[in-house]
Amino acid sequence: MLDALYRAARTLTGDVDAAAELVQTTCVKALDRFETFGQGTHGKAWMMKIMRNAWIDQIRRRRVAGPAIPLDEERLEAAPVVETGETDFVQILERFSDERVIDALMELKEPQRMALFLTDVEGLSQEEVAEVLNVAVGTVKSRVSRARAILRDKLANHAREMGYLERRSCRT
Amino acid sequence: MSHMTSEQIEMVLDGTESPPAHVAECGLCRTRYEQALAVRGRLRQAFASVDADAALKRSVTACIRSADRDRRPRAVVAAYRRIAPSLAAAAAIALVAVSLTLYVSGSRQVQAASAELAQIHQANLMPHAELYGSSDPQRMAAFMKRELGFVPAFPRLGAGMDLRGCCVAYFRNRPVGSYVMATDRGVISIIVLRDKPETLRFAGQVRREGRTYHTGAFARNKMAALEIGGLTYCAVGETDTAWLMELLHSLLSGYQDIQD
Repeated sequence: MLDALYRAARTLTGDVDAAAELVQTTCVKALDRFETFGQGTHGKAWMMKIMRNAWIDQIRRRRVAGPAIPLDEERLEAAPVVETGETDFVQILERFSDERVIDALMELKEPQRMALFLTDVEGLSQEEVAEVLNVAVGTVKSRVSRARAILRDKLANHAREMGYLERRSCRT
Repeated sequence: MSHMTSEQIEMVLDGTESPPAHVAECGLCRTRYEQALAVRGRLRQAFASVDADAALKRSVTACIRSADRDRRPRAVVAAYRRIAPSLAAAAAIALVAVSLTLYVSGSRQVQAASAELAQIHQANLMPHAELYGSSDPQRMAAFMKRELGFVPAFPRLGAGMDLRGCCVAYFRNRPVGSYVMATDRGVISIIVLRDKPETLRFAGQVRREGRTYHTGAFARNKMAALEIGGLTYCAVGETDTAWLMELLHSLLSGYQDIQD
């Protein structure tokens, strides 16, 4: 569980030290909410929700002179979804380092990033992810789908830059 | 023949639906599905090497080691028994730590206050921390006055210390001031609260030159708090507590009291 919490914290914060601190804070906050842990509660989802709320609290605390960090869905950029169509893309994925894949994920906006992380990496169901992120299941589906498409395109672009894939016109 | 929607692909990936026969017939849909599957697999593989290191595990369990094991042992066992059946075995480490810390420490607010203060400090350390910076203490005082409604004492500068900037943070859902100093012991956050130091419930108290310092710790952070002029100044940093007390003493014994 600690490993899962740390992975999630890394995905949220993008920083090793901040992630460690967030894990600590999450455990402490879990103490305060221990009574909300009832029979049948999914332990990992419960802790993930506490962690995400703790992270949001932390961001909100940073209300200082300057622009606020946008968290709401409406602020998401409309990233184009490009169908690459390369059949060798699956094999190309194996040529990326783990760090490169994680870095590409970190380039996504937080709502999409966490939806994809919780679904694909931690294996939570869409209903559980919806509970963690406090959104509707339909929103989770669209976020995950969009996030995966953007991630795929980022990796495809990187593969082209590295010469793993031919530069050719993409169908949009 | 219509292609699979993105939502359908997600439902197949989620296991909610089986791959439709169309996937076998349509090269485009098959490629989209296989790519989505591959991205998921590669992500999972990439994160397999990301683990909490031994230091983090130690710091989480440090709460347990430092707790008074004899204080409420029965409650600990009861709590764990209540929680354990509904969890996977993999959850045990963290939740044992959680339940032990909760019930053994006997005071959730002890850790909660320390955690919040450490969190404010941690945020100040981050490269993208947004601090209000100015070389003019009067301008920083005006910023604090505008944001907080009061002006905390500002430190004397020099002597190996610089003021990086200040910001408004939140503690117990109330705005508090924080200024950040670069010292030869690293970056130190001074958090200025209206809360009395006793309410922080730090573990220790030290009397020194007629003043009472409250001392505590959270994870790698040490803390020392001192009340002056109706405000509590809490120094937080990854250094020893005695040095933080000394810092507060030197900062506040001859501070520039910038009142409006």
